[in-house]
Amino acid sequence: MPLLPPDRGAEAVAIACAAASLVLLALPDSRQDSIAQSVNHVVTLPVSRVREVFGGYLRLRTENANLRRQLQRARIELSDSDIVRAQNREFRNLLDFAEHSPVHLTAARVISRDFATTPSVMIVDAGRTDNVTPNLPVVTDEGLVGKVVSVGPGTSEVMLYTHPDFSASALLLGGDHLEYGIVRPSAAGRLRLLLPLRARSESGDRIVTSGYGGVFPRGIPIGQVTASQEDQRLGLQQIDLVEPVVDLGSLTAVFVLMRESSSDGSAGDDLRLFWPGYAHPPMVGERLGGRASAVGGDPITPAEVDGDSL
Amino acid sequence: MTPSIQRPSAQTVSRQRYATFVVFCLLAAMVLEDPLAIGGARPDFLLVALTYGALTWRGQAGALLGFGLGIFRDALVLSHFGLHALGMTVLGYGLGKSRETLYLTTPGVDLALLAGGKLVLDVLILGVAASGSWEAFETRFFWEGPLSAAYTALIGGLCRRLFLGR
Repeated sequence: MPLLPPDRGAEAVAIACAAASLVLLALPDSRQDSIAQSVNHVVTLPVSRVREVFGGYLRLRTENANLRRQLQRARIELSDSDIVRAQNREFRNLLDFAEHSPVHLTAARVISRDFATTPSVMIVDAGRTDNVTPNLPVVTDEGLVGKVVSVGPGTSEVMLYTHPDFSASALLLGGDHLEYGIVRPSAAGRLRLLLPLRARSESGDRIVTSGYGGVFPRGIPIGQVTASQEDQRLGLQQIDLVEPVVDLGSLTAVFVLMRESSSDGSAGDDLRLFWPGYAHPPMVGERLGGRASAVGGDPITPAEVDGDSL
Repeated sequence: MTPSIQRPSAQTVSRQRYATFVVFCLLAAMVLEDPLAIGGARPDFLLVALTYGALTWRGQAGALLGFGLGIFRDALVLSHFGLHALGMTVLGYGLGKSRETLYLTTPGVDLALLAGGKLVLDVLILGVAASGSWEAFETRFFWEGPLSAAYTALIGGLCRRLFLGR
């Protein structure tokens, strides 16, 4: 016979459990704490283990993310330092060039440019306060960039050699002969050298400014002949394709070549410009020396100039 | 012919499935309750397990389950050891009895019982924990109680769909 009727079993269990709970509640605090700590330790042990492992995993993930961020930052810094190093090298070259230049140069930074495929104008941070005036040549240590077309108080607009309206009187250094012509922009950032039909030119011949035209002094490097062809339409002139020496896409700083006081219409005939690797082109009336000394290598001194008269 | 009312029975939820659900609730009580807290309101996973167990297996099982789950809660709280065991024993028994007398078995009724059970348990627990201080009881119960009850009912509904398939 059951101790309690079946419908009273639930009540009995509930009362027993409630009584056990009350007994636990009635225990002194210290005893309660020790029991609670023991049970807590048992029930939370698996979870704390899992937590430990999972926490470690999360910590590793966080650490990994932090390290990735640091790596990204370091890469950006490294890339920045590469840029700074390249700029530093460029500025050193420019400084060295300016120090050894026989003419007065005003350094200017490129502060704006058009972002067409082939840029044709740019703004530099030298202007009227730096004594910059329109029509002054703009150069780098490599050669011709363009000329100043308008001047503001602190900035100037520069027409680049790629501008459709650009032209410059040019001199082809042909080894044992010189040829005079006009340089104009061509497609894709290149130049065309327009020469008389009888002119002789070869691939690799260097082109410098001739000093005629009143803007560019004699001897500023323009480029190198890459191909020669006859004018297809009229057959009256020879057109050489010229690869410019200055890459306009990477320009960050330039020099404005200041005009000397003696302005006799020919901007620089009395200037002895010198670019590294380029020979001094003979002045008007001088004679040209041998091929080896005229193209590249050491500059030709007036004493070395002889041969064909110009 | 009288319309037959389907009384809930132990067969509606298998013991294995319910055991799995209880294990989940035990783990959730340790791991998920704090992260899921919104303001002062937090879901009570142990009460969810108790409610569905008691509603399925009636008063005796409800009382035993309430005692066990209450001891577990007491072990987590580390204060007034036995208080949750007492409260959940009473609640488990009461919920089991309510199912014997209340023939409605809709999910809404179960959720209402869940929310009501949470409120009753909070009254008991907070009443003892406040140690006679009405202000302490008032602040905790009236601000956190109803929200916690609603939150627990919501979580209970989700668990019912996910684990118990009802």
